[in-house]
Amino acid sequence: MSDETAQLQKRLYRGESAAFISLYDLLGERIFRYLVAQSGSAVDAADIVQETFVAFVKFHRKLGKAKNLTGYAFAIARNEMIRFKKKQSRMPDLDPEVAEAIPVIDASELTFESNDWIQSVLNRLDEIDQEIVRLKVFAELNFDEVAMVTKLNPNNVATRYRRAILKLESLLDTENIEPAK
Amino acid sequence: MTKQDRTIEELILKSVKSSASAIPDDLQSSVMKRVESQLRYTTWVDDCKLLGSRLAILVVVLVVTFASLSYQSNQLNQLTNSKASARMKAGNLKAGNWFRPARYDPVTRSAMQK
Repeated sequence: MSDETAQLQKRLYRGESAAFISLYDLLGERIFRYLVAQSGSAVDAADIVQETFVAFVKFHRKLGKAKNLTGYAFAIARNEMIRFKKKQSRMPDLDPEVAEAIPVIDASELTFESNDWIQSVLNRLDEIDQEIVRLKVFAELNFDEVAMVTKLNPNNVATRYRRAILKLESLLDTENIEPAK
Repeated sequence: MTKQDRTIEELILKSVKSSASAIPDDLQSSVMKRVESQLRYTTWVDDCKLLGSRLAILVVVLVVTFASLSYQSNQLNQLTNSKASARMKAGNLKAGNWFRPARYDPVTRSAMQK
């Protein structure tokens, strides 16, 4: 663990407001990227990022004492995403008249159009492998951190990752899916 | 990790990074607003917990003190009752002299007749 991370963890433990800004600078973008890839919606991902940081404040002492800050932070983000999805599935469908009255937000700027080809090939993998690839590539976590988030053995994660990459490679070759330029 | 792994990884990463600008600009400010409000709430909850624990200690001290006083009072009562019954047996207890000390024979230490 670097000195900088250790210092940040001390500040998080004390609950300093500025420490959360540093944490956002350190992990915000990666968490957002992972959540967009996992949830498939940038609008939802932005909401989940907010909930994740609220959870960081709630568990700031545990975050300050965590052996691996990044892994712990992503585990919280993953839990918040699961909670968000559960909450969404419990919500009743809107009355069509009410739905019509709500202004439509133009989310075109928030979507990852260039990621469509990645999503289409990733969706061919099984759910755990998809998540491992997203955590490893989109969130740039190492195998130990991915293992911490997915609660799997690091060796198992590495094996699954390599197998998934091989499968992706063969999919790109055989099905002629064009990566974004 | 093989060269092939790195190639596909780089390919995905390049595509992901190229779309990194899609992160909403106001996300940081809205996140920090939520963080500030949650911090205020957490501080308030922590203060309440501290106050609660102090109150709990005070209640425990009061209960222990009350129980101890109650026990001592009970013991004193039993002692008084046993003295009164001894004086009754000795026949020196009449109406109105419940709280008068019994007279004892200084030699035999037994209650004396009035």
